[in-house]
Amino acid sequence: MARGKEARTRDPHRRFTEWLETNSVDDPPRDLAVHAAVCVACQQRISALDMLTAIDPALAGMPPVLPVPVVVWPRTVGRAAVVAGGVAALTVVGIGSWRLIEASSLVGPAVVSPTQAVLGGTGGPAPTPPPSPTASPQPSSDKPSTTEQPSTAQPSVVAPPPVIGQPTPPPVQPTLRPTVRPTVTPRPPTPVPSTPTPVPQTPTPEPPTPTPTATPSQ
Amino acid sequence: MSNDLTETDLLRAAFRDLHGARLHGFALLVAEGDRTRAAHAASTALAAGARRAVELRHPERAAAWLRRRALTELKRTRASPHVTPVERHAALVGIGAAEPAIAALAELTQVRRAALVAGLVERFALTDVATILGTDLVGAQRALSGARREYLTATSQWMQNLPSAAIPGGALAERVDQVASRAVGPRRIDA
Repeated sequence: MARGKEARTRDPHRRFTEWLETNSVDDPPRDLAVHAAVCVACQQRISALDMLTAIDPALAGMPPVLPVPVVVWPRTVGRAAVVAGGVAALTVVGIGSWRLIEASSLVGPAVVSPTQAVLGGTGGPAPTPPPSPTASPQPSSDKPSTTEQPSTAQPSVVAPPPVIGQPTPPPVQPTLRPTVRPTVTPRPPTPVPSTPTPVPQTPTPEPPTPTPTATPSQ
Repeated sequence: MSNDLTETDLLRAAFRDLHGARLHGFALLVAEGDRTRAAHAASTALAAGARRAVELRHPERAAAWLRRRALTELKRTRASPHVTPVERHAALVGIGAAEPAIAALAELTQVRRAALVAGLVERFALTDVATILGTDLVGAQRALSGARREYLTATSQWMQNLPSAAIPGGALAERVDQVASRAVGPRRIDA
């Protein structure tokens, strides 16, 4: 250790070289500076470093000014964008047209459906029974009844039941109206007894005639 | 809006004026006198820096950032095939480089050359050298020491051939002489 320290102390030339290689900003130690002042090799090294400090980079002058780069899209990119836009527009127009055509086929000309054929006779208003002197006045109703009401008051006069499966011509109006409600299920007609009912000799008591009540105004 | 544009343009122009010439010289030294390559690297870095002139307010940080950008550009490009050694030499002599320095710089790698130019020619601080080289402080110190060592080794043969009278003096030589004079002076007085 002591020998190494002594060797380093004895070799100021090497120490000065190390100082030059590591640090030339601070001042060198005095003994090294004294050595360098008389050592030709060290002065050559100092001079070599001074050659660098003698360079003036500003003498190179201004570099050519590059224009501010502007992003220019290549032509192919522009054409691809135009083609993509056209394809997208055509697709939108095609889908829209197809949907319009589809919607018009649903709303357009009326098609007679089998449901209408089956329920054609049942959707209309019930046929008006023939006027009878014993018939009681029915309460007025604005809503037309879609179900046939079997008349129990006159069992002898029985309307023939509608035959399901064959379109029955409506008595008043044609049933090809869109107001037919296919969800209304008709009640099955009252089964007609096959055997004729004997007519009693005694007159049938008439039911009391309901007195129409006056509607209170206001 | 127009005032803002004018102010920005002025700032960019000032940025170019402040950094352009020295940055060009740095690139010229690192590119070993290749004017075309140096001009391209310096212009590219300067254009990039001018766009960020508002952020690069600090002159030394901006200078280090510009040199790093220029060094990156120099690493990316190859030497121009049409530049002759005479043209390279003339370009370096034009900014004050002596013959031994030119020869020694040519023996260094590009990164070592950049470290030496930044640390000794332009006297950047170690932190800025680290910024330029893209390393930490230890790496910058190591690169700088290695560059100095290689440079001194390369110049030794050239310097030995020079006569003593032809050895130029410089700032470092004056400093060493001053320290030596302070050290010897009291001895002389004592003697």
